[in-house]
Amino acid sequence: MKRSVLRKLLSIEMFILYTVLVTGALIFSFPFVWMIANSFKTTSEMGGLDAPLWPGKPIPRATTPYIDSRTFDQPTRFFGISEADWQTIQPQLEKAFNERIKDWQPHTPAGDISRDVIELDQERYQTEMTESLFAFVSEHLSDDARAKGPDAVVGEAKQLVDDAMLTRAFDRIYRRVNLGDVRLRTQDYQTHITSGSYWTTASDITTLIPRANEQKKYQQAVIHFTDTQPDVTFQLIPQTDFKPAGIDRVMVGFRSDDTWARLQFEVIRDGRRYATTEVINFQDARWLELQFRWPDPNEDTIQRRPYFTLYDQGPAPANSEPFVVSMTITRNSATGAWYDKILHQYRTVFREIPFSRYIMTSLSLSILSIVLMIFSCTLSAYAFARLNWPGRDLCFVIMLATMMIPPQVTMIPSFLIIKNIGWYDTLLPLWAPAAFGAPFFIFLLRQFLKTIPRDLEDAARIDGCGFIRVYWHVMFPLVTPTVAIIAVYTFIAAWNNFMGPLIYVNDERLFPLALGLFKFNLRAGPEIGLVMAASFVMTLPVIILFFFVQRYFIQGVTLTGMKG
Amino acid sequence: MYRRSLEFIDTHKVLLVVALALVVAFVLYPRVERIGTRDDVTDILLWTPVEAGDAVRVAVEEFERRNPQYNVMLGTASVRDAVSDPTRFLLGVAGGSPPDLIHFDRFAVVEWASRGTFTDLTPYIEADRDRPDGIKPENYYLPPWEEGSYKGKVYAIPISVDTRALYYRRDALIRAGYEYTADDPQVLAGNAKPGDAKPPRTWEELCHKLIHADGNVTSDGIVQLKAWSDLATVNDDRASDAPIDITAEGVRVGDVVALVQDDEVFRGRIAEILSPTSFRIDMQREQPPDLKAISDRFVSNRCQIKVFDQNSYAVRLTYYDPDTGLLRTAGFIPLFANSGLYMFTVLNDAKLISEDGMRCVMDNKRGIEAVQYMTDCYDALGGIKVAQAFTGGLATGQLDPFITGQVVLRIDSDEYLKSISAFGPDTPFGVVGAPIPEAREAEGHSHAGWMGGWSYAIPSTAKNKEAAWELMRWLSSYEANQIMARFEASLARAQGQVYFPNTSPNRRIMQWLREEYVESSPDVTQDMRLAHREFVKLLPDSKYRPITPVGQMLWNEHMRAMDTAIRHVQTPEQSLGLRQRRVQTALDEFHNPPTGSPMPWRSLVVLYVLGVILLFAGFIVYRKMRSHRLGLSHDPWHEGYICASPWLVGFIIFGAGPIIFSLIISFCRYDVLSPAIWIGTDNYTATMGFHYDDTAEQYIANDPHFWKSLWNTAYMIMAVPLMIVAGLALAMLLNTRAKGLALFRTIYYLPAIVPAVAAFILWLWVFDPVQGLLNRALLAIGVSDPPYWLNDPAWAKPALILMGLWSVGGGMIIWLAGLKEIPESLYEAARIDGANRVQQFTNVTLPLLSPYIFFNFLMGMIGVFQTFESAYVMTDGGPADSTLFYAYKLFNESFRYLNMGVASAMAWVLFVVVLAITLLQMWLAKKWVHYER
Repeated sequence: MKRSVLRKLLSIEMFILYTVLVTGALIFSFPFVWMIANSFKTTSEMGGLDAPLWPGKPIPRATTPYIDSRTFDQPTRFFGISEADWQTIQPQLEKAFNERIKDWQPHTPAGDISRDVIELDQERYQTEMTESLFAFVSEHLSDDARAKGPDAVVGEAKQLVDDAMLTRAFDRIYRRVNLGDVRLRTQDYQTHITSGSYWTTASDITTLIPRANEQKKYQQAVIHFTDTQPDVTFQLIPQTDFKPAGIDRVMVGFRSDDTWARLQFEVIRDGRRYATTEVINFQDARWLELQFRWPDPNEDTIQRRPYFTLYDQGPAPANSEPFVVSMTITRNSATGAWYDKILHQYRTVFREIPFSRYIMTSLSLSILSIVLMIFSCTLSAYAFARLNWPGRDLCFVIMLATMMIPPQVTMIPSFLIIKNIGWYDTLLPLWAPAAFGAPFFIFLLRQFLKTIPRDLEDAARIDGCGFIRVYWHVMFPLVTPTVAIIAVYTFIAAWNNFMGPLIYVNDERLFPLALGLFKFNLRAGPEIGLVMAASFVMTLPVIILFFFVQRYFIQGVTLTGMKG
Repeated sequence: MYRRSLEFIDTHKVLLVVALALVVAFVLYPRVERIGTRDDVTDILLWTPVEAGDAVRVAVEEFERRNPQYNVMLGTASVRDAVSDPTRFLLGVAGGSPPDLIHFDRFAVVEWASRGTFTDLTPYIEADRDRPDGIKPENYYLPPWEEGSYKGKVYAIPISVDTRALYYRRDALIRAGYEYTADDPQVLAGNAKPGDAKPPRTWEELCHKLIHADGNVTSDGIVQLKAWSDLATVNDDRASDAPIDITAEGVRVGDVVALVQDDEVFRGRIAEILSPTSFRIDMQREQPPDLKAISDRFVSNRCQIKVFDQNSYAVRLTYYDPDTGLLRTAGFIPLFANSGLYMFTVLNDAKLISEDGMRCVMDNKRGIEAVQYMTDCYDALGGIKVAQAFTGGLATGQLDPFITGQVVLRIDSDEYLKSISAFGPDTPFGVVGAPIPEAREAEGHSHAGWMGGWSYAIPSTAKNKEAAWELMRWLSSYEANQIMARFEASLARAQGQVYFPNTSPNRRIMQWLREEYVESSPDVTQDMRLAHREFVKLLPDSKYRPITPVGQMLWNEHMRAMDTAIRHVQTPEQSLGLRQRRVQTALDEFHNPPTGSPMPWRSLVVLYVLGVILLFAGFIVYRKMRSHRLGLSHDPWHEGYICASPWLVGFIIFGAGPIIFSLIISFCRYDVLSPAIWIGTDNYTATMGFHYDDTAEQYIANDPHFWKSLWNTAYMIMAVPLMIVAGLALAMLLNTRAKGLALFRTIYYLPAIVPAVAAFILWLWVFDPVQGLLNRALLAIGVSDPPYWLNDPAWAKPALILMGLWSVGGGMIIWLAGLKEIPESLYEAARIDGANRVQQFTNVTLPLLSPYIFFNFLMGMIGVFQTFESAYVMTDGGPADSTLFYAYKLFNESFRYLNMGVASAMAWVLFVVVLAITLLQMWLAKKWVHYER
């Protein structure tokens, strides 16, 4: 009887405890989750007042162009209009818009339109257009009309919906693939636009709507993928009078839809095939120009590289033209689209930003610091703990006192010293000082060594070992657990070091990770997804390390705390 | 037996691992050739403020092709704001490794040139005289060229120029009824057609303040005016006791009223005029639906009351959602886009620096008027916080608020034409010289604003000046500019955009660009063309920022003055006065440098080394003599020195030496570029001292920022107990005997090990007022008005504390260790004595944990004093200096302004403060810390 009551009490208590723990854990890990979730977002999912909280689901499609039903939501009440008024306004507007849309011949500002899409999906077109118009009118309605009431609103809204607004409204919901100019740059830095040449295709699942005239800068591609034909290839053979061998950059302008279809570019130049190997997707539904280059062995830039590299794929098929640009679009699967979306920002981080370079630098600095730190600290600690030398105790007190001195005191003279010995703008000041040890680690080791009986050491001495051999064969193995802690903490410190490189390194090629990430963040602007991906890449090794050597982490903190 | 244990220890494995690690480190170690070390090719390092665009890259590549002896490396300064923060450039110059050629904001070139950081370009220009492609002064517009010259020497060659004017949305103005009538003088003069949108021409038209008074308000919105405010300066010299009659001042029902109390602003509309000195605020119109009463802040104190004419442009064009009370359309935001206080001082014809360049006159009447006017514009809009939240959520590109019509009037530079052309070429807009005060209009003052722009300059310690000049000549040439423009034009075309050129300071290039890409381009709209002509017309009248050796400081200080005034942290007069004194001090110091012999560094270093050697020798001799006297066998002392040498050498080089030298520097004036000069305790008095101010009749701090930074740091220290409580609470939770605690421990601990920079970047985004996780969560749980966190001076520090709480798991582990050490028997004893849980906690747990509390408190406090990176990465010390922490200010003094003496003095003050607090704590600890013996 008594025991069961106790158990009951315990379980209620446990329930509360776990609730608190789980809630806390959720709150603590949420920023993390948010960081990772944001790293999956595309650029269009960031920025603006109504940016979604989580990355949206990528939807591959079999047909393009199409009407995107996700651009606008159900019309919401216009600002400045009461709920009651809205009840009368909304149906009126809906009716008016519907009529207006029926009379209107869909076209985009550029005049590129595939009518069969609208005819195929008349209903979706109608609803989306209405929602789009609601959004536009909501933005453009004058304050006066809002203030005056329903009649004024409906009246003005009808006036606002002119041909231009309809065109823009349509433009926002209409997803399509446009193939634009290809620009070629030759080695003499002249840029050629291939306006006179057009994209062609041999595939029968696609049609290309030609340019109406020179003012139109692109062709529209209409594609219906089938299960047997999941890809389509477009080709462009530039009509130019320059030598193909001289071309070193190819820039392709196109408008993508949002189907996450995969793209591959291939260039035939002078009898050889070159192709991209990285994954490129149709996403974000926008105009963009991709740049392709051949690998440059002398490339040593630390600036952003917003281009793709073309790799040699062997000889071109016989009797092909001397210069051909081709673009293959492959339909993506639902899982493939998720996979690509998740990796999208990470791929960009490593391709465009010299992130691998930053990582290698930081890793190298960490290793050097750890090695030097371990030897210098153990050696010094040995001297403080075991050897007799004049001034030892005084030095020990001084060492403890220096831990109290804020680093700012020595910051400026240290900078001057580094400058005068010619280490400024090198990586030396970031790792070489580890050879001088760190007072706190020396202190930890000394305390540890003090607790170990002298027997072993004396025995070694009697056996004729010199102090170096005693250190190496007796002392060093004894302190290995503490050394592991030092290694872990030195790694974290070197990996995270920001102030050091900020002061001592000016050459961007030498930037370690923390400074590189900071620099990248400064210029990233709206590309938060990219920044979050980069931040996560920096965090990941530390987390992995933590899971492997959790014990040392926690021991280290505990030792730190025990000092008091 | 001992032998056997020795055999057990296999240190060869350790060596193997170490060797392997070193090989890895060696492979990964970045091997870069130091710039300029190859014999056959000369490297030129070119720094641009942001990463160079493709157009510049193309021009640079062309340069390399034509001059195979050169290799150009492109780099950036990697600072947040290249205009106000020369830190990395100065570090490069001071460290002797600067870029060879740098894009530098032109107005700041002279300042640094006067301190010897830039090369005098006059001889190069002279040598270029006869070259057809040489850089010749006569090819340039005068204002940008003059801006880069000082005392007859040229330090900067202009590359870009921008001037400022008012952009207005024609459609919005016409909708609001601002049209030219047939009898308008402008129409009669043939400058405008009836029915055209009529932009504001004067400050009064733009935003007309009818009343600025002090008074009281009741919670139901009855406002009672007591006296004219003595803060009102714009066209208002009334004595504060003059009678008030609001109807006589033109106040009508529907006018906008702004109540200002401390840094809070309440905006509303007048519902009813009750008497000549009182009116009632409409509690429904343009207010949040849940507004019941005016907040106590305004009711319980006397506040400033401003009334704005409902028909002035900025008020009329601003649109608040009548139901939700949220700002939807802003008529005019003074600081949105590229304007700044300089703009408003220029428009009011106010001087910042006296004619002779010896005095800073920032706080003259017209300057104060300008700040007051900007503050008024913000208050009419609902205050800076509302405006910032509004602009913070605005996007750029296609969703740019001017293009979407969310902002109707904006003062911006001609650069903005490029954005319109790229993202909203069909936007109906116009451009006109910015409005000026009526009084200036009457004097015939120009509507032109200030002009800025960038330039090329060669640092004085650059390695390859000749080569840099060659590159500069090429990049400034007609031909290179044509290449760049053509490249950009074809890029725009390929992206389906219309190209619109930059404004060039070079007349010939400018003319070509205009003809080629503006006047004759079929894609450019008439609006764009007219706007461009307006800018070209304004250019020759535009003013440039004062050329002074304290230009950068003047710019930074004026930005801060403006910021604090607009936020009502200080009155315009106070904040300008404060900054004026700071700039004046710097100016005086520049013109009257301390005299004295330079510090003999070399001898001092030799002295130090000799001293160290003597000390050691003395010590050893003493030991030997003593052991000899006492007949002891002497220890093998060399063993100890050899083993301790890592620490000893490190201490001598990077410990004791720097400490001594830091102390010496703190008594010197030293900027690294010129020799240090002994100035006694001036650095200490300049930072910590006070002086008697005659006008204010009170003692005023010589450097208020010092005290501000100290206060900010103290504020953060107050959060240390919070961290301790949170950490302890967490540890108590995890110290129970529940299952799966290891997992929770890991989750709670993880934030503590996230690399700082990554965590800061994450939190910057979490704290974003509109899109951030935090405010979204707050909105979701029903907080209708969440704080703006890092954008609000009052919330910036709490935000950082909140961020600190996230990583409280690091401290938790220490507590866990402490808790585990408490013997269970003590609890049992307590339970037997009948103690409940609370009593067990207070009587057993707390006393036994007291050493840990003490230690954590001490460490936390010392840590707070080092707070630097969060301020550097996240806030840059802002907003309104609210995150200007001690260590951050110290860093700024040393590497941003090169005031090494002041910085060293601050470091020593910091040392003394930390020491004092530690000793105090230790003394206090005797009373409450329980040490188990």
